[in-house]
Amino acid sequence: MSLTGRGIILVSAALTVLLAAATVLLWRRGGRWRPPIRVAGLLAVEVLVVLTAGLIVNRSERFYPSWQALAASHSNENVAKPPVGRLDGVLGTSRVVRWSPPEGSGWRLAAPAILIVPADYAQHPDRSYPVIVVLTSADRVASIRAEATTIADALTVVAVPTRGTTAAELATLPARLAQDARAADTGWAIVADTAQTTLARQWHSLVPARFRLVTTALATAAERLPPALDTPVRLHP
Amino acid sequence: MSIDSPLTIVAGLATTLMATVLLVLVWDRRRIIGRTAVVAAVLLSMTGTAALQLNSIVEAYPSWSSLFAHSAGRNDADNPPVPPAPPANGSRPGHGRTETVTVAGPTSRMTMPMIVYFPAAYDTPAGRRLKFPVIEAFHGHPGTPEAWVRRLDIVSHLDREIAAGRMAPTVVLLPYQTTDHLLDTECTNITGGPQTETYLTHDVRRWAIDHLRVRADQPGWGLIGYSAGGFCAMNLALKHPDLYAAGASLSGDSEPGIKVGDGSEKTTNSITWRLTHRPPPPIALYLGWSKDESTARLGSLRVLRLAKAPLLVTTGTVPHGGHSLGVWQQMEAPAFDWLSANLSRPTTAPQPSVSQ
Repeated sequence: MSLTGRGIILVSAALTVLLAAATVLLWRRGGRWRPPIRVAGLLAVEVLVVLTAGLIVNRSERFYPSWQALAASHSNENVAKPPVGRLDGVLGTSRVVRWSPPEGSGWRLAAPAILIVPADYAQHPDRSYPVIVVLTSADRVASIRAEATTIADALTVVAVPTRGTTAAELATLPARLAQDARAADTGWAIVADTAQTTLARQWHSLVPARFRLVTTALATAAERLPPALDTPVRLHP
Repeated sequence: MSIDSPLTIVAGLATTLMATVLLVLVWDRRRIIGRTAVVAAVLLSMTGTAALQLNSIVEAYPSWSSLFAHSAGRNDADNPPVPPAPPANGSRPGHGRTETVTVAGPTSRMTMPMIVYFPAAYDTPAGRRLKFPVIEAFHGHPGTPEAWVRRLDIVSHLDREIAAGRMAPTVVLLPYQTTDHLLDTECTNITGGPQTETYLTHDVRRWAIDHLRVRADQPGWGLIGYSAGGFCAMNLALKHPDLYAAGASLSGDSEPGIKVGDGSEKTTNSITWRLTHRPPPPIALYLGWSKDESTARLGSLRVLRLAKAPLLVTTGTVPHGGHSLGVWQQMEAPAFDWLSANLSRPTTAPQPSVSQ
């Protein structure tokens, strides 16, 4: 019988009427059992009146649409499997690596990209990190690399695009990085030199779910990023 | 004895039982007046107990004084109900604490109490140099912020997610959404009534930035709410994308379901209207619902269907549980984890002053 059906309300209402009638009929009977019979009858009617009213309200408002709903369990939360990056082993000993995945040849970068991870990367194997992608020129790579090693709780990718680098090809970079290191799904930032602004904006518009902002300063990006977090509790989508 | 404690409900049941026994005892000894009086006592204690039990679920009146202030017809804006302070747990290391403050709204003319959750890190030496991200959490209707604390156990959920590293230390604000316990505002500016939208998006925000160590920028602010509060979180985030980066709705509908007074429930305060008639803002929404409840499910699916980039929507469902506290308890951890991942981190950087 459905918790929100007419049937259960009719049964409850009928029982109420029946018990009320029985209580009235038995009111003058029962001899020395008369007081407890009266009390029991009245209490039963009271409970049924409240129950019937509750069922009617629940039918119209659907607070508890089913019997199962009454016993909402806490078994549905699932903590997703912690991510593992293919380079996690290397990154445990070296914080700065040249990153040139075989799938990345289409990016047409001037040189292999540099990946920089925070100092405590290896100590938090369940943690995913937001990412800063720096699009810059070859002469600035060294200084940016030095600044990036001071950034906590984020991965930094330093890349030098060429004329042949397109936003459409770069769109594959986030997925590649997620295979190699523990990169977060969202909350990325692009830091672009003035010369790279157009490419950065095009890339951003192709994958808005990934990128949170486009800026020119590494410090601004680091301060605006989301936190680096352990694998979240998730519900079924 | 507090209005929502199990003892109060037991006392109510005992009173009903005694009144019933009394009715039986006096029936044969008294005439019409005596009988009527006891019957009235039975009915009153019965409905009163049922009402107390309902109130303890939704926390519409979190204290006796809030109930009597309302029945005496006093305006809460002139005399804000001061909810009893939740159990202080600031002394336990690793646990957040709550504090009840009064937020005077110079712009909205609403002056209401607000519960503030401070993460454990807020009071540490390192935390004193930080500005924290902020989440405003909205209650359902009828209801008060006390439901978040007493029925949804928000403090334990936040403590656990933050301690596990699944959420950054975050300040959470639990404001009231109406000056009249029985008036459903859906967080809008009611014509001739409470200016709740202004209060929540301007006055509460302004107060927090002025009084707390919190981020002042849009990426540092998020919203969450259950039931009517879920609509509030979606609607206010979509209406004020310059102030909020993310909103999480737990069993919220896409429509306010009230009359705002200016017809805006069909336009600017309807999420389906907004997503159809206005460009989508670059913010993120989390929609959670129980699959066996139709209003929130259909409302959430409407929002999901109409949402276009750069508006991003993530969903989370439970198989059953209806429109109930049990569902929202299950959704708290996933929704807060998601919110934290979509808000900026605590920062040492000086915050820009807010001009508005």
